[in-house]
Parts: sequence; structure tokens; C-alpha cells
Amino acid sequence: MNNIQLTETSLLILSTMHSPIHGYNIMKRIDEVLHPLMSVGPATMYTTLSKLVKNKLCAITNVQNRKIYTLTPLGQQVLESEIKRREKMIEFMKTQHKTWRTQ
Amino acid sequence: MSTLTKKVLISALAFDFNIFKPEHKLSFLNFGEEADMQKLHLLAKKGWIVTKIQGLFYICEKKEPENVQYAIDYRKNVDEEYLEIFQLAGWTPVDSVKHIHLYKADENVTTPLLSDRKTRLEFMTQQMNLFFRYTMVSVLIFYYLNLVINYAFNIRNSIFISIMAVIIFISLGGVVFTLMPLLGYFARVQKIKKLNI
Repeated sequence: MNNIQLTETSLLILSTMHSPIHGYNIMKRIDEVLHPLMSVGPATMYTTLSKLVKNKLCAITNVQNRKIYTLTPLGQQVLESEIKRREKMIEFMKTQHKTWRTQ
Repeated sequence: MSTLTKKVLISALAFDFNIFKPEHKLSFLNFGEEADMQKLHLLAKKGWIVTKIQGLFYICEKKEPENVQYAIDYRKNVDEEYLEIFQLAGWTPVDSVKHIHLYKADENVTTPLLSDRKTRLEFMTQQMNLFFRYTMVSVLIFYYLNLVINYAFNIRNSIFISIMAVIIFISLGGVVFTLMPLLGYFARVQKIKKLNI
């Protein structure tokens, strides 16, 4: 069991790494789906990617001099447990909110 | 034809006399990169476009007015991906000197360089620690110079006293220019912490 808790930004970035991806495309994918609800600034993106690599949650391979990011088994495990944790939280909040509205 | 240029001292809004106009409020927040970026934005609107960083100055050239925003990032050992990510987000590099990277973007670019609380807090804390070190050094220099001027008074050498007085005055400037940004960053760190409930 790991004790790593991801920030929203780390979670979003990791979730795009289900297949090998370039940093540029991570940003593009997040922006395409979540803009204007949420965006990841370039300095935040670059810093977070470095931290994820440093903590071995994703790995870099160099393809034609370009960095490609891939989820590591640890990253996969942390991502799944974090998604489950947040799903439960959302479920709880929805139930609470529904109860409150019907009162 | 030679280009008209203007030098803007980095982190030095207090020396801009506009600050004494009623619409400006003198505060610690007027020091540091946020205030500098706002200043460069206002200058660009007037046609003074920053083209490079040179020593302690931003060098602006007289061109067509632009409605752009500026941002700065401090980072060592950057690679190609770094630039690509920034450009994708709409931020165009203006100049990079050592670990200082200056960017500009259209007014409609809404993504700031740092978009989450954690990285913003890390950035501000890093800057605060840096300016704390600068302040300590400048205060020490100021203190030792005062010891020297005391010695000059003791030996009653008026030329020595005059030279030391000028040097002390300059070193006092060093204290102000490091202490004010330090207080500015401290205030920003507290603000970010407060906003996180």
C-alpha cells in the first residue's frame, strides 16, 4: 500500500499516460477536454512532469530526441487507488447533496 | 535608423515615480516579478516592447503598441520540450538569460504559467528563500560598512568618511532592493496559504 496522494494536476497528467505520450500532447489533451473548466499552466506542467518522473510514477523514453512519458507499474497502482478514492468522495458528496435537497 | 531603447530596472517599481500617483499604492507587492510584468505590460501598450534582459535591466525598444501580458519562469537546465510546452500554451519566449526565462502572450491567453496552488506556493517560497539570502548578505555588508565608517570617524579622515558615506548609501539601496521583494514574497506566500481552505 502506498501513501502517495496526487494533486489534481498530477492526477490529470498521469491519467493521460495510458499509452506513451509526449508532454506537448498531455497538455493538448487536457486542454481539449477540460478547457475552460480547468487548465494546466506550462510551468506547472513541466514541474509536475519532473516530479512524477522523480517519484517513479512515470518513466521517460527518448524517441527521436523527444521525451515520451509512460506510466510505471507504481504510477498505475497510485493512479487507480487515487481514482477510486476520489470516486468514493464524489459519491459521498452527491448523496449528501441529494439528501439535503430533498429535505 | 537607430532604435529607441529604454532600460527598466528589474524589481524596482519604487524608483518609478509613477508609483507616487494616487492610482498606485506603494506596497511590498510592488516589488518582485509580478509587479515587473505588469509594468512591462503597461509599457508595451505604449509601444515600449521588451526585447531582452541585460544585467539588472529589461531592455525595451520603441515599436508598435502591443496588448500583451508577460510572465517569468526561473529554471535551470531546460530542454526542447520545455519550450514546446510553453509555446503550446500560447507563451512565446522573449529572452532567456541563465535560469531566467521571460515569456509573452496575447491578452486572451488565460492559462498562467503556474496554474495550481502547489506549484505557485513552491515558486513563491523558493523566491522568498532566495531573497532572504540576498537580504542577509546585503544587511551584513551594510553592517560591516558601518563599522568601517565608524573607524573613519575615529581617525577623522574627511575624504575617507565621504567615500564611505557614498558606499554606505549605495549599500542601503541594496538592503531596500532585497528586503522589499522578500516582504512581497512573504505576503504572497501567506495569501496563497490563506486561500487554501
